[in-house]
Amino acid sequence: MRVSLFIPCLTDQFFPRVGINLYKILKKAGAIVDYPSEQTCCGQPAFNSGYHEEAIELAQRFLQVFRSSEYIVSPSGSCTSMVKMFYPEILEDLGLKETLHDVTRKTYEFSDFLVNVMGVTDLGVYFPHRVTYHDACHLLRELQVKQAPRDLIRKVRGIELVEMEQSENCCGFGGTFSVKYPEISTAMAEDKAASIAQTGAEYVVANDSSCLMQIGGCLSRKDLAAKPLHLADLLGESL
Amino acid sequence: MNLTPKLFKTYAKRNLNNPRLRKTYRFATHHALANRLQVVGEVPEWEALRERAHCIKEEAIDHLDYYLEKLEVSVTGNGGKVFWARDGKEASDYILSIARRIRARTVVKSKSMTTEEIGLSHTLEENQLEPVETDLGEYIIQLAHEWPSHITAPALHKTRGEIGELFAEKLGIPYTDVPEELCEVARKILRSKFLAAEIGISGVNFALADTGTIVIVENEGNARLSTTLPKVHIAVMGLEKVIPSFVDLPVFLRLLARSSTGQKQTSYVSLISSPRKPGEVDGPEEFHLVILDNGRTELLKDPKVRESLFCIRCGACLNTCPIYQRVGGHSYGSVYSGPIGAVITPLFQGLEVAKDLPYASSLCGACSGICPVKIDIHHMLLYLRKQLVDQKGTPWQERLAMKLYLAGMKDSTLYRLGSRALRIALKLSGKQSKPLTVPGWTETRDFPPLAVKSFKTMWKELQREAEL
Amino acid sequence: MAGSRTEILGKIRLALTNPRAEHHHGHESVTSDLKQLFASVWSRDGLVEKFQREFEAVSGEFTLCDSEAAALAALRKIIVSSNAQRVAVSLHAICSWLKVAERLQTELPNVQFLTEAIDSENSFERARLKDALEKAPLSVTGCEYLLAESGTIVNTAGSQASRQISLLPSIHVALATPDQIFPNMADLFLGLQRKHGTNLPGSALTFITGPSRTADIEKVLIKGVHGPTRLLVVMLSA
Repeated sequence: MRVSLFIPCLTDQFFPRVGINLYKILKKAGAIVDYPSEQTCCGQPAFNSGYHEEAIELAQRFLQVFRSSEYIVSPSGSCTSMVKMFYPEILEDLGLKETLHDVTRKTYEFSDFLVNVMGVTDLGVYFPHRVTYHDACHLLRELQVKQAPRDLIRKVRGIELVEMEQSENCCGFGGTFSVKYPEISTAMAEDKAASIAQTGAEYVVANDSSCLMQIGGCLSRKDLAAKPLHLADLLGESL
Repeated sequence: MNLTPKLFKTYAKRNLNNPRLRKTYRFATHHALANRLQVVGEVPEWEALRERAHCIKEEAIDHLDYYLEKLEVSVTGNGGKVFWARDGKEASDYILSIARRIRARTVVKSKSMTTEEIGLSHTLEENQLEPVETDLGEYIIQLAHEWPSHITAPALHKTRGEIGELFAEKLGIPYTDVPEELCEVARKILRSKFLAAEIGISGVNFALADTGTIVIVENEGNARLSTTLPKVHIAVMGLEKVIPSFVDLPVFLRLLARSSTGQKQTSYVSLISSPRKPGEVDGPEEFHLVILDNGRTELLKDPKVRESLFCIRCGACLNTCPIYQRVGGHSYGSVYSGPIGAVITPLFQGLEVAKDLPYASSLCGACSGICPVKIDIHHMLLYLRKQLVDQKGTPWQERLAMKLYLAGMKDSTLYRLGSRALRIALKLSGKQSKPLTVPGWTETRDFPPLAVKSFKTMWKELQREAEL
Repeated sequence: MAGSRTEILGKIRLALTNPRAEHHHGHESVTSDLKQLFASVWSRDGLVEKFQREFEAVSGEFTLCDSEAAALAALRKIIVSSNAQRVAVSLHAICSWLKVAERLQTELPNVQFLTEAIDSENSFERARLKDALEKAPLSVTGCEYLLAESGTIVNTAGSQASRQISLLPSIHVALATPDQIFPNMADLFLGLQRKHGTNLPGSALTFITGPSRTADIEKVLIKGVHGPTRLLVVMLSA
């Protein structure tokens, strides 16, 4: 199985270890991993703000960059949604139906890919800590991925997974929403932080660096104990 | 109270910083959601029902002219009258002409968002009529001269203490904040109005085209009273409320109350097909159905937003929206608030007037997930953002930023150079590995530092190592 | 107005020449089969128990009687304990057949029983009836159907009963028999369609699920806002 890494711009610039850990995880699971280095951004920031022209250009570029990939795997639910759910919408008029269909079919968020395509849940990881899991909105509602991350977490030896109240509530990031409506965004993050604190978890795990940036930014500002942890870091750091 | 969507940011900020209001909204919405969860959990066919309801609405809207004409034939065949109103003024003028003809003085109204939309009560007052809101929540906000703050619970934003003060002040009764006592006061006052009124005005939840029936869903009994006792019953419906058939109704009734108030069924559902028939000892002598456009045909034009006309006004999207929960209904500056309000208000009033609304969303999608007729609400918000950009309605700074972003992203050499330049700049200013300051973010949350090496750099190094 | 009608319909037709965009997010195949959509509540087993359970869950008061005498005794008990001095009785067949007004009048001479037997086409008499019902704190009616899924009573406005008789008094008692119970609303509507086609009986069909209620003040549930405060069913099983 050949897998191409799709590393979001946010991950590339702020959380590169997530990408490295994803690479290690996929290798451990038995895939041959490559990274098309010409990739930059899937175009989601433009699309989410209504700038379709810019998004279309970047989408077409994405199709080019990943044209010879067998599978395209990303550590971000929101970026994966952009490709799978929204590329068909913005590119439908451009006569790219076949390439488009191919790419959307091949693109996966990594926990979904590991569990449901590779059939792997146990990577032999040991992490004796209490963690809780945040359901990122795009991953949950656009991609309908809820169990796969939990399946992976539960197989970690020594781990204690505690579900928080309303894990499905939005963390308040929402892209530019986080700075266009900072008070509302922060209020949402604070409620999420409170739910996390209530579990007594040492880590809050999620599959989206943007959520973790928002939640983590709030937890640290409020001096709360829990630390943000990307699922790829949880599973891949010790590999 | 006179609100406008233009001031969403102002209203939202004010409400966010009002702890009492925050607490009231939080309690009310969480309560509604908990009740809903319980009754929806009892229905194994829930997803199939949503799907079916969506398809029924799709059929109705896709053939709207056909079903409205069929409805008209059925209603008039049953002895009712149908009036087509292009806008609020035509609807109000028609109602006033009836009032003049029968020399009416008092009009009892049951809860109707459509009549709120056209400001009907205000118009009736200006024409020397006494319009009395009879739904308790509507009665409260009528006394307070306020707008509804929720689609199904108009006085959701008020505490019992505030209602107590309001009643004491406006009705001259001794202060009490005991809900049962306040309710009893309203019951007595309003009962006399029901008995005296010459006209009863209601909304319409569903209009059944084949039987010529309007359906009114309520809990208090005020709609039954308003549509039974007065001589004339006028029902005002948005033209999107028609559904093809009588046998479509059970699907909606199994979804509506559960989504709205967490009940299996509301206390009363009235199916009214005609005025009093010979042999019946009560019922209005005249039944008028006002079919209102007021911008709906504009919405119909664009296939991408046509689905917003499926809305059955349950209010579930409001209850689940993290933005609505925190800023409250009045922030939207429209009688339609929450996610569905953020879609239809710009469509009814124009994007220029309501340009903040599509962006007041984190696009979490909870609204679309909860909608009983599966309206893709959050994707419509995204679409409205596109509309605004296409209309050049966004700030020039943002447009410029997007152009720069595109330039940086479509050329990987430029991207890499930019990435390196940024790191060199940070290193030189001694800020390497330090958390960045981001206006709009770092006032309330910490922001991570830029990674010393980007993933691209780390990957290159990894490849070189592997080769050695 | 003809102008408005033409204009609105014209606008609709023009708008609909623009077909709907294909939905990318996929709607699974849909059934229009009501039986499937109501499968979990389609069974006709234990309808009386189901109805009672749901009816009581919405604060309805249920009494099951196995004889005419027991039913009349139950009615008498309800009237006496409510201290109602006036009772309205509908012209439903079950009320007539049980001779509710006559028998109870004999047993309760101090209570005034009134019926809706007036000249329906005389507006003056209709107005008087309305006033009389407004002053009656309790009414006894039959009903057309019941729904087990939600504990609902269904009344038709017609020659057997007015709309207001189950609305103006603060206590409403409905007499019913088990054969009137439908398991769910879809089943009932299909039956009504078979029986009446598109000509629904009476000017209004009312679905009553428990007493009148509101939660408009801080979500506190209050019963008896504008409609009845108490709703009772006396079911005659024999």
